[in-house]
Amino acid sequence: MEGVVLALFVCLVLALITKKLALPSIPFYIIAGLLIGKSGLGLVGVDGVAQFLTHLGLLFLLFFLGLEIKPDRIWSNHRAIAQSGLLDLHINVIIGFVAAYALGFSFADALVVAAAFFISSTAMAVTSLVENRKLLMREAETIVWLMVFEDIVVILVLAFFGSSGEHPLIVLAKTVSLLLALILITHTGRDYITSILKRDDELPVLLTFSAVLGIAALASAWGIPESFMVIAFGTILGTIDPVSFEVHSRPFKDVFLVVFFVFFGITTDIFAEGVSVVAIAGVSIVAVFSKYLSGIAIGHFVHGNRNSGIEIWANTIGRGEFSIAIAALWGSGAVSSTIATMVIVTSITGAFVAKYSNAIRNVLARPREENRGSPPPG
Amino acid sequence: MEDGPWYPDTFTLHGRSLYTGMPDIWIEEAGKKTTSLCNPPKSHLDWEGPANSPPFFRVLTPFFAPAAMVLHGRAVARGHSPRLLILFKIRGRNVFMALRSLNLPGIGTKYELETEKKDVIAIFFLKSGNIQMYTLPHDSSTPCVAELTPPEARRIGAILSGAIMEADKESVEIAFSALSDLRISVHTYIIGKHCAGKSLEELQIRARTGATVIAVSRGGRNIINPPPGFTFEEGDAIVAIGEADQLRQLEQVILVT
Repeated sequence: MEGVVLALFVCLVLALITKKLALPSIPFYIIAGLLIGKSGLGLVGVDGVAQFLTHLGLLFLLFFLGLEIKPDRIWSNHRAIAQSGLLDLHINVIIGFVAAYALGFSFADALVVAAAFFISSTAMAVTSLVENRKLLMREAETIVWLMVFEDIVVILVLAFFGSSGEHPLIVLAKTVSLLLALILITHTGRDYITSILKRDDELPVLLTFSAVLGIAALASAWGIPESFMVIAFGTILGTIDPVSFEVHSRPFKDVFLVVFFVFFGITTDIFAEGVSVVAIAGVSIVAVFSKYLSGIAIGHFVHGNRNSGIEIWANTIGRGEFSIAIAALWGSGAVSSTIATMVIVTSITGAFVAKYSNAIRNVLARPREENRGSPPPG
Repeated sequence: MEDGPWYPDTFTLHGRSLYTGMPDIWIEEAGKKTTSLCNPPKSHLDWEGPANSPPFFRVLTPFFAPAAMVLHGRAVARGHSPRLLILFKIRGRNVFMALRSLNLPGIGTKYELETEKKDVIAIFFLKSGNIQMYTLPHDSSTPCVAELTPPEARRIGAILSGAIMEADKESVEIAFSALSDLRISVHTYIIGKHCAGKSLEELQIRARTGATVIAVSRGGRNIINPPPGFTFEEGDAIVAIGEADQLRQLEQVILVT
């Protein structure tokens, strides 16, 4: 318990500083976790309370993701989403997997690294676009839909890899029947739910909190992927009243997610045996570079302009919450430390690149213009 | 679509969105939804206008249209952008204003319009509640940005719509910029001891100050447009209207002395 309190206060101070400096706070929570946890001073260990709060952080992160998913809106944009999304998916998953495998990870570990490697932080991309006042850029829309595509990939990954040892078809049947039951319940009781959400006493918050925990408990008791169910539940509730559910679950998400990040740092031991520094550093550097390639490719194929790719790159370098979630769910020790480092490196790099993207664009674009101007050789 | 006796069917309306990757929008033969939204090629516009006007008008509209008519149409684009709102007026010549509204997940709602002079204005209602307003001149590729709080945005909206209201505790000033910057103030006062028992006629408020008492509130009851014989009591709240100078006169000449 004291550990959680200490961690929270460290994060509070960090939040104050990072918000003032307009930097992403996630990498600093992880750094703080590394410093006070296993890898550093060893002040804070994991107890039952911390475990429970961390779990809540993950659940509310996923629930929030679900609330943001609007199937009809995605469907009406599927062409625009798919083109840039598939480029991003192929380039980054392949590079991520090859890099991880070449640097000595096992096949399964390399897959987990590749998944975390692929997924940019939606929160960081959105904040970066708003804070750096780049919403009018024509690349801004592409970036936003790219994030939606990546979120969908997260959901699929969670749905396929989160299942128990049972036969996949049985799990699928259970999942589908539970989803249908949920849709039926929420839509027949729609008016009642809406009336509860409108109250100004403790009921709306209580409903939101217990609904999220209830679904998670039900899913794990039934042996179906808990993370996927929570996201799907969020999406279903999002069709009723996304704003209310968002308002009532935001405080839980904000607090528990910070606990989640800091304890991810605390439990990660980057100096453990068998963790290669070369592999960790290598993956982080390749992670920055690989989003550059996918950004340029998207710029070239979607906007017909490679310079657009630099903007797309600048805002999608940062890996964050979902990479950590994947590491927390399936990562071995070595994988977790690799992903922790990758998140720290990419998110801080991303923040600076996005801030100075105009200058970077000029530097990177200049050589090509000079080439064009120079006479052909021979 | 506003109901009207006839609608144009054969216009070529052309809008261009410079900065969003949205290519040219063409609406030809509105009733037949002939449009091109180039990227991606298969997206299309649904025209929510009149279906088919009688052939007679179809022949005549090209001649009539430049005369005088105001037409509001609404088109919903599918595919590249989920919603597209197009408003255009035809008054003497084709004036086109495309207002595009778009919901960006995680960010908020975007409204974008291109002015007649081809400048682009985009407004983003962010999830944080603030508003970012971008303006992009037609001859530049670098936009200017201002971030506004909701009260600031409302103020700008009021200025643009031509009426400025400034409210403090007891008074409201309304400025009509369209009427050579006419400013009218409305102020409330409480009647003191020395005005009590006197009527509007006796005090000669309008003659002496120029301001007009338009309402009196007494004990929870409101008297709108009190008659000249109306007698004030101590503690009455009055609402007076006039220019700022006239109200100052009222305060100094009638109420205080």
